[in-house]
Amino acid sequence: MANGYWGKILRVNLTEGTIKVETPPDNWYRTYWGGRAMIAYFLLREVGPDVDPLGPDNKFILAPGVLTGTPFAGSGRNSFGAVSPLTGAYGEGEAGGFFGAEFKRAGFDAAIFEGVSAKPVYLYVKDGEAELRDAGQLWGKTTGEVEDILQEELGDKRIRVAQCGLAGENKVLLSAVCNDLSHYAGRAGLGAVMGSKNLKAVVARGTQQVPVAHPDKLRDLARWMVDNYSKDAQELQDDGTARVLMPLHTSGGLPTRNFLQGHFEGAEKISGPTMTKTILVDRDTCYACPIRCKRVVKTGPPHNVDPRYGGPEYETLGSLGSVCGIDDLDAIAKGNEICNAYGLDTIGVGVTIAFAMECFENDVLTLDDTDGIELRFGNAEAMLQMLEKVARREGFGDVLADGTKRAAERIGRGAEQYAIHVKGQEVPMHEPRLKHGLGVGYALSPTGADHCHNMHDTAFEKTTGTADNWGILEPMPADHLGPDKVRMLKMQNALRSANNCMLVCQFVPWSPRQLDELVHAVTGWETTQVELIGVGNRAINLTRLFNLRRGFTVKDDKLTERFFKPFQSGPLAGVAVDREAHQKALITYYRMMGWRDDGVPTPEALWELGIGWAVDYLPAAAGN
Amino acid sequence: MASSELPDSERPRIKVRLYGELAKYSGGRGYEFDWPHAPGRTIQALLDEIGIPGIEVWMVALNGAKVERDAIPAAGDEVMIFSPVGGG
Repeated sequence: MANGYWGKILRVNLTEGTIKVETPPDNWYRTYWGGRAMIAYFLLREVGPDVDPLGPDNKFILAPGVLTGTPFAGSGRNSFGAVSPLTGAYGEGEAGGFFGAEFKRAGFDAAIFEGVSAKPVYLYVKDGEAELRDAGQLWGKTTGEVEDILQEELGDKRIRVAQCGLAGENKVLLSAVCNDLSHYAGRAGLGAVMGSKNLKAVVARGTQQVPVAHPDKLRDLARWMVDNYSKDAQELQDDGTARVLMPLHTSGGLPTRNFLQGHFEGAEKISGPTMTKTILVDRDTCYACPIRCKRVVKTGPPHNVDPRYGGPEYETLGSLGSVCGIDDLDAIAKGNEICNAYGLDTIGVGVTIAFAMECFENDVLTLDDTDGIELRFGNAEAMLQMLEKVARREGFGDVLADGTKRAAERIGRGAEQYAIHVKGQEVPMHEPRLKHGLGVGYALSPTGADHCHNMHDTAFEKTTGTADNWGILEPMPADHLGPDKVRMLKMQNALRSANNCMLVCQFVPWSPRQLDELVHAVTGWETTQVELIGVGNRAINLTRLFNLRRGFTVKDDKLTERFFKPFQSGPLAGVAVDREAHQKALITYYRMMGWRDDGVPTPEALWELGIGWAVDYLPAAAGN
Repeated sequence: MASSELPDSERPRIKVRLYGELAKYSGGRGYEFDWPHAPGRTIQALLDEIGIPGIEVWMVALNGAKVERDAIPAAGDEVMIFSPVGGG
């Protein structure tokens, strides 16, 4: 009997309104686990290189992993994937909350959405049954209103909802997929893919226990984390992910004013401890997690922030705060609420507004361009106005709704130099001039700049931490970029990629050894950490092949030009990414991965990972 | 009488702020607390006094500015002590 999965994947044809159940064999699950690897498998095999991301031939895939919905801290996550309309490349995001676990407990391992529905619909799954239902009444509503209407319509307060928001309906390329109102698969513009398919939401209700091979072992592991998380995650509980804002500011690596600076004079006003002491009213959590790192905030006038939409993560405090030069915590919280109510990626939209602010400061944009809005750094009201406009594609918001790369192309006049993105995706709140290995990871990422499947060098400066699981025994300076750092990056990328296949939270402090034990306890598979890294690298190679087929080359493994220029002030004044060392690190990574110097995997590398079938998807010029 | 010879309660204070998972070494004082000032004492000596293992410290700052551990706080100064940070 299968454990950790049901052996059932939904194939939903939105054009025809049909639903089929596919039943892949056990060894398929054993090879791909879920999440990223599963999404990459389907996209590579089923979505051709010329498919329009917002057209009917793109596929939107919802994929939990084998660990999702089983009872331990960190298992409340799922992935969403599609060709990204923002980058044109492989697109994926993960989110926590309760939706993923509920979907899994409804009896399915994934759902693949094809085609375009003639009218708005949502998929309702409940304990082994699935149906498409009319979503006309949900269109144009806020995410909160959608949840209310669905609970009323289905007569069930315990449903869990993933939805695209108004921004997704309007095909905003900075749109997210929202789990449970306050948990977001933010990146890659996946909300727009849902919107383009007239797929408003997926609603789940599941009362089944996901089968577990060794319940006693799983219980012991779960209990261990309950008893021990405070040693490594107490501050995460107390101050949320915002805990990192002050250390990053003090070290000179807090993205500020569109990455012109790495320290922000207003940092203390928007820090984790400040939020805890001022506007925090509660701590929320995800399925089965005792850490409760999620913020719930509330403010009085003028913003009257609604606690229903949670509160800002570190990424949002940076992207709507320091990156826009804004130190008004209440306004940032309002911005977070707006993004969550409309389904906007706070990172993407924040960095895009900061881009426009720098354009405005340099007279590349004027009041005539910006609908009369003074888009200057520090103008919180302007930031809030732009969020509304972007979500609705109103006026200048329509220009910014396509992200920095396209907006810069549309604006012209040298605006490109202010667009901080990799492969078209806006850079998140981690600074390559502080974390130099992370900069290489940004360049390599299949989804464009991303911090979730990347290495954070600062964690390995004093101790190697969990890297000693891979035999990496010496700490390394964050600004080091030698082959030994690339080795660390390779292992970290693979580990975090594996996390996004089994689907476990990156913040719950499980060691790689424990992750392997969790997979074994849930599935009964005789895995090892070798296999854990193997599944991570399968996903990395499949996403690489997908992008190569879509025309991406090593030239697109390109870090933003700004990071090769030194900071003018602050703790990292004079520090830049060393271009030569960075380029060398990329080549070293390719070679360590068994790829050629042009970034194309060798057939042997694919066979070595047990995905020899993927050789057929290598570019023709690869000589196969 | 030198301030270091006064009883703890009468000595001038410095402010200590701990970040990351260092509060577990504060003896129940939490993330922010006052600590008796001692003229000429380095931040490294302060870490030893509080009982924070050096290997768990990523960075220290004095009055908001990153410094080395041989920096010497004055009375009334604020010392920030950070453990390594990863993602966020």
